[in-house]
Amino acid sequence: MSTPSRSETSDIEKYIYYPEMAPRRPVNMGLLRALAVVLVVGGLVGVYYAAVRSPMPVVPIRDLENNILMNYATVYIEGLVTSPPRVDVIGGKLRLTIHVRDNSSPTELPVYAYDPLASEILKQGVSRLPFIGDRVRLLVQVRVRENFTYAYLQDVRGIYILSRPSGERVYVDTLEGVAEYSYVCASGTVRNPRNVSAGLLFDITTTRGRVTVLVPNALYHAYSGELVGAVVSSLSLPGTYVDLCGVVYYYKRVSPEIVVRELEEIRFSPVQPVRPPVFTVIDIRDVPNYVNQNVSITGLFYAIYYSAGTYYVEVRSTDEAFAVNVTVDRAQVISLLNPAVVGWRSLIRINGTVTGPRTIRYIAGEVLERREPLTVTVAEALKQPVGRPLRVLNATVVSSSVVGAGNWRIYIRDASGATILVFVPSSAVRDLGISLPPPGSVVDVAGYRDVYRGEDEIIVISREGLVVRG
Amino acid sequence: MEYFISPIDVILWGLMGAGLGIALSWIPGLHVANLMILVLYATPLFTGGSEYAAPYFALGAVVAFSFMSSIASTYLSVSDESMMLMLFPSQRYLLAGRGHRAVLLYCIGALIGLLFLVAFMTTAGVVVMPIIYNLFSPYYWFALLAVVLFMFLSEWPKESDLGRSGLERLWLAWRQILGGILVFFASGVLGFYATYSGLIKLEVSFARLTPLFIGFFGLPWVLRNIISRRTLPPQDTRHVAETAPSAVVNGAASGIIGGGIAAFFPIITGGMGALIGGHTASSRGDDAFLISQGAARAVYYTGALFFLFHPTMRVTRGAVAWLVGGLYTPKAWIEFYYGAALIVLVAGASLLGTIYMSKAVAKLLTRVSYAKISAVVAVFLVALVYYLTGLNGLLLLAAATAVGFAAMVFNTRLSYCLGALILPVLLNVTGYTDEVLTVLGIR
Repeated sequence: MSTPSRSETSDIEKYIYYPEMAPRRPVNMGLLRALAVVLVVGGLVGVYYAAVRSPMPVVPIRDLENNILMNYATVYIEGLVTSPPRVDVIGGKLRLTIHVRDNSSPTELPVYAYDPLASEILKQGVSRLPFIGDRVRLLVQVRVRENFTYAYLQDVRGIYILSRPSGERVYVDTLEGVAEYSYVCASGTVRNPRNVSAGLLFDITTTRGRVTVLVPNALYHAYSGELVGAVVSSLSLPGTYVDLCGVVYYYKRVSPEIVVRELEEIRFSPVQPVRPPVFTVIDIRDVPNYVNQNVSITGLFYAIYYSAGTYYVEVRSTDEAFAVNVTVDRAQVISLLNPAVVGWRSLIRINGTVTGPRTIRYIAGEVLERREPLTVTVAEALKQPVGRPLRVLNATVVSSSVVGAGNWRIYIRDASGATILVFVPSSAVRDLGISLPPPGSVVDVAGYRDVYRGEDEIIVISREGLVVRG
Repeated sequence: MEYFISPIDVILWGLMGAGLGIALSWIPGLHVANLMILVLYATPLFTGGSEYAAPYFALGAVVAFSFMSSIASTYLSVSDESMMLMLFPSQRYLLAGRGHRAVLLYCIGALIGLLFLVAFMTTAGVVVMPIIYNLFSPYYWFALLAVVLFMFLSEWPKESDLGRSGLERLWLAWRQILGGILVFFASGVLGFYATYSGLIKLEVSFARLTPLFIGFFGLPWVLRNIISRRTLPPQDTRHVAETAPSAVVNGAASGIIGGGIAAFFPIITGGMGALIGGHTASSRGDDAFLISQGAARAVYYTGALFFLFHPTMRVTRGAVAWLVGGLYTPKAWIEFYYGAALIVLVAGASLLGTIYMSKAVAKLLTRVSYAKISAVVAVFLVALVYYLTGLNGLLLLAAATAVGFAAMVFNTRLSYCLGALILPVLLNVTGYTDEVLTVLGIR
């Protein structure tokens, strides 16, 4: 086709710049605008109906890690808060940081909330503040930078506290051997208070040892300044007698401390407290001679049994010739003798009241020499006696089902070729916070041996007792 | 720490990216971010290979896109006669048989913009950009709010003298503004649904806005090309650019200011930045406008990604930068300077590629049915959305296309569709996401 000469005005130029010279095709723009509005509204309605039927899923952290295509994904995550909430002031605005772990990945996902959301969460007090030990479901938006994956909280109502460590006020004198995320109490005099970036850290000198305590700085923003000022002032004074409760946290995985969850859980006493009960230190063989008295014994952690709502821990003398049963509740056995943490034949101290020639009611305890859990193959597990705490690693799920009121029955097999039933009672299922491992999953199991209706099984009682590896 | 980066690798990856950009960026609605998503989604090439591959590949693709997207905006987004009032200069050039000249003017602006970007960033920018970043970072959201308000305020009531009654004059005066508000908020609602619902499958979360942006900016043009059955007049493909030195300076300055603002501030895009830059430099004339568009888009797209290469600035702007940063963020000055050199190299190659592609497309479009090419493009865009996001993505695409169509028929700015990004972010930073999600039924 020829190009029009530059000296001439082409037809199209006439058409563009002198449109009145060309016949116009009549188009009803009003009708088009009305049609556009109808289409926009219709489109929004259609998307609305599809969206309300497509709820945001709960996604394992493993699926988010290092996956750049998940960048900006807005999802729910569900897991355990593994660190005290921390508040930093950046450019005059608050940044709240927590870490969440689920059983899908060994790493923790850092989760941040920036102002105004951070202030909004803290304004609602500790009820909406994800705290260490809490099992939570959070609406977050994911960011992936090279090998660092993190997330931002999206709104206050996207925070669900599913469960929170609680229970009776179990007092401890030391945190050695106490399971992480246990809810415990301690009392004593304040020593060595110091301000650290995470909050106020101090030690409590108890009757038998020392307990480190952290008041996280997030609480400074969750309570009125008046209350925070009064509490912090008192705690900053060495020699103050305090009675407090909180959640056990292992700083850098090695240094245990109690993290105070609510300022109301701290009580001050201007006078010397009533001394705790005195326990007579005796040899375990002398227990029959101390019925109805408080005693302190040491022995080997030997077995766990369960009957009618009560757990019994079998403690044996170091030569294994003499045994007593210590009655404990579920929280106590998980707190002190979690089979995933404390192994068979660990040396333990039990303080309690002797209720019979060979029975003691537990009051307090500690692990003196922790042994690694007894690790066995499935074939070896089948040969272990009832009650023996043990651990099986890298077993494959053969079949799994939910029975009764949410109990799990999981058959596992490992390289030994043998198969055993793993029973997870619903109380432990709630703590696990994961979905039922499907056949083919690789799992680590820690619990104690039992036989039920003639069938050999391993009972899992703690959240660390079932870890899905893949 | 030792870096094992080789200039040969930089050139190879950069040219590969440029090749992809040149080959595909002429497709209307196919943003370079979508192109990168497609590449990363379809091939594991970048996730398992050299860590330097993704940043330099992306830089090459973005620079090529900065030039080559002028083909789509000039040749493939033509209006029909019912919409004469909203013709952009590039479309006027096209309908006057001078589409190629519009592309040349655009390329002049893009080249000047990129040369300025490289010269500034490798000299003064080394020192001042981190300072500017620290200075402005606490106030980003105020800037964003100001830009949104400026967009609406600059749409002063028009056509108010055409009505016969007071009510009609009121309607005519506010029609365009109301259309803009409709488009902005409808886009924002779609942005909320795409971001906060389970509509888009999780494994392609990064592409959650792809259906929306193709719907807002790509499909409406293409569908209208098909419906209007437009034919193009013969095109003058001689390498002639009609402009004056003052227009070049004015247009380039306007574009660099606008592109710089868009690259630096989050969420603000090239079009919004160009609007501010145009007002700042008081640009006049079609040639200055086209040059400013080239400079603005080149500085915006390339600058936003190139900030990622600045070792002491540490700022991630734009979808491509976030995508690349997920794989590898350049950390050393040598990587930064290699990036600068690559921009100049690919700019030269893209300039040549765009000029000859423009010539080829100009000839092709006068021989092949414009409607048929548009139909092929439409099928490609729909297939792309389906491939990435599935059936729900198509639903979002349809709704977004309706919004884009509304922007056209209300003769309002297409950049209001960026409400899909702006509204969720604004409400998030002001703390109102909770309430909106409840109203939208996804809480």
